[in-house]
Amino acid sequence: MTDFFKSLIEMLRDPVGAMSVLVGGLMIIFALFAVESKKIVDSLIALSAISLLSVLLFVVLKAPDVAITEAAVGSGLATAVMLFALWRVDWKADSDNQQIKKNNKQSDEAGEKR
Amino acid sequence: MSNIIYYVSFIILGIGIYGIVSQKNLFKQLISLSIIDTAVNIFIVALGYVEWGEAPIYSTITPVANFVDPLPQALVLTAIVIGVGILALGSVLLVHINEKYGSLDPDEIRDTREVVE
Amino acid sequence: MRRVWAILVAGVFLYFLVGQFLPIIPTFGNVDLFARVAFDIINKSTTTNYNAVEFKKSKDLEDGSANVVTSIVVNYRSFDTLGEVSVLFCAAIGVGILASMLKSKKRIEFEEHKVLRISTGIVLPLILLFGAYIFIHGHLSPGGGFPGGTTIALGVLLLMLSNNEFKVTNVAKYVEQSAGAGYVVIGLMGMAIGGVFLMNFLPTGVVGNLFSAGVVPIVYTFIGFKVGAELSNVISDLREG
Repeated sequence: MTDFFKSLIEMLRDPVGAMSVLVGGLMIIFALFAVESKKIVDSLIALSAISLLSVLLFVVLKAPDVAITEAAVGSGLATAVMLFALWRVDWKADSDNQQIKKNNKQSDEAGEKR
Repeated sequence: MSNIIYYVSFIILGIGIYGIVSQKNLFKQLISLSIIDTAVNIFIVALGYVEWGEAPIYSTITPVANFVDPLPQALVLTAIVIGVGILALGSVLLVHINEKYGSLDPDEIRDTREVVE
Repeated sequence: MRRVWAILVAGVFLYFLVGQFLPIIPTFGNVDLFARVAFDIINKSTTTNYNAVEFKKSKDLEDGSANVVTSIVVNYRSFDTLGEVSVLFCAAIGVGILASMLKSKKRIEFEEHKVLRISTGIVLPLILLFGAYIFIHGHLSPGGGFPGGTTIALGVLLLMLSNNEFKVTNVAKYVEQSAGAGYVVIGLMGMAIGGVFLMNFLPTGVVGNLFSAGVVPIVYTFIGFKVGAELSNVISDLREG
């Protein structure tokens, strides 16, 4: 058991090891949240957080090109694209948004007619 | 123990596969696909890391080239941009599916199709 | 029941990755680069035997870009990048066609806010300038055409959020088409001058100067314009329906 802690402390001294433990642990938690959360908006925000945290890992891994691309594409544009698609889908569980509430009412009426 | 970043990317990949198989919503499955994308990108970049290497850019601070492997980074640069194209196309397809069948659950979609046929 | 199956599938995948795949790849950080890449390319800048690449001094190299990733993406593997740009073009066309085939033609409207609207007028030129900076300096610093173009598209997204009347007009489509055609024309010019498609036919200059690396900054500028116009079109198609 002490050997395990010794090797853990040894790993945390290395910047790459420390970052991969801290950031990787957060990424795993966010990934579980993105998969298991009830609302889809929540999982979209968790997906954006995963992308932002992976930017930190790319910087530590000495890949600044990949980091700047992931920061612009993965956490900025992909979230916007999926959010627009989500508003078009009229997802019923996400009734916080005023506009989606209105759309839900319309789609519910349409469903009763059907 | 130094391979911890490989284990991190494998675990995130496993979570993505679990999401694709377990979730009943096509939107959640698309999000899981994007999680797998991120995990594979981290794994490929980590394959090219050299200990105490520097970022592959010539500058006055690093006169002697002690670079990490630049080829995986170039490949991942391609993969990220293709990934957002896949994501946009997939979301528009989901909007179409929802418009046609009124649901995003694969089981309900199958039932609706059987009734129609 | 579904979750049990999912955990089983993911577990089998993880078992094979960790048990079978991890032992055959090198341990983290101990990559032997000389076994992977040619000795010439790795050792370009050591001071003995080979031609040393010195920043701001050495000139007329094979590729004059200071950023090695850029020199791989746009110089050595430029044909791959042309294919990638075509794939992105196909995805954008698919999004446009599918979005125009939707039956419900409602447009996504946002609540207008005065603070956002006025601050957008101040911030937007800086965002566009930063995007242009990223793709013009792609061969000197981290960045390049793809993140620069995406930054410009994000500026367009900010304009969309703040202003309900704003629409992306046909100008974006013309910019995209002409930029894509310019990339192919540069490739054909390389074929006419040097006999190889997408050859670097301009003088490469001194490493680290803005006007260096031959054809690389021109190609990255084209890619930046193309990606920016394309992604703006994708967002606009998703919004207009």
